[in-house]
Amino acid sequence: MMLWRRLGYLLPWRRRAAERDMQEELRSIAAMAERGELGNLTIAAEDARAEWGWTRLEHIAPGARDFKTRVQEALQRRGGRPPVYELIAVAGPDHARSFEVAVRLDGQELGRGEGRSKLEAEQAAAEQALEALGPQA
Amino acid sequence: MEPLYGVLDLLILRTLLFGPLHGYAIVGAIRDSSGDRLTIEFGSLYPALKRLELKGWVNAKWETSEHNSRAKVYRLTPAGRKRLHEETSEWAEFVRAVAGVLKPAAGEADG
Repeated sequence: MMLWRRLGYLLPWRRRAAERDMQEELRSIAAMAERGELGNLTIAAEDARAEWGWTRLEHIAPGARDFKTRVQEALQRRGGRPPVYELIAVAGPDHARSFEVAVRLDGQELGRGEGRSKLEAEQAAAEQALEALGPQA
Repeated sequence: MEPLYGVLDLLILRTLLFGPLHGYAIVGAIRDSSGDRLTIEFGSLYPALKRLELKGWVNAKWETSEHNSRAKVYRLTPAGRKRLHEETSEWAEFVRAVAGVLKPAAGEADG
């Protein structure tokens, strides 16, 4: 049963829905707690994703989460220029850094993401950009 | 028997036995019922909740409180209740085993 639940997250819309739900839950909990009481929520979210097996999915199905490549390919098909990833902010202590990255095309922001590394934040931003670019991406 | 692995799961399942709670309230409930001795980091609790949900031992539902704020509330499932029962027995066995090891040997001086 657990395997089926995990496999369900291979479906991009299931994964996106779960991700949105988790972000909403973390926001609702952050609103109840005192500032700083909960620690780094980006890491809590990343560890929750690991429980869902998303980190392992990257090994089983490489490319399943490689949103950067997919954005690049989508923009190439349109004959446009490559996207630019810009580091917006770095927060937290050395052992628990969190990065925020925006992805832009010709100055226009396509998406924004957070992660424990710059690459992870870029991937999250690229995932949003894919949604912004629409289903043909 | 793996000693400390799974203790957090046991604490969460036990806490939910008394009724459904949201994530933030679970941290407080464990802290209160342990007489402030156990403070679970939210960063550990949250992934554990997701793990328990994936295993089918808890389920989660959005609910609106009387203050009109939405919170995701976790509930023990029948499978979770069964698991809690098993884990409680395993824990008791583990405690007995450690107590046996820690028991002063014959002839060992106190202090």
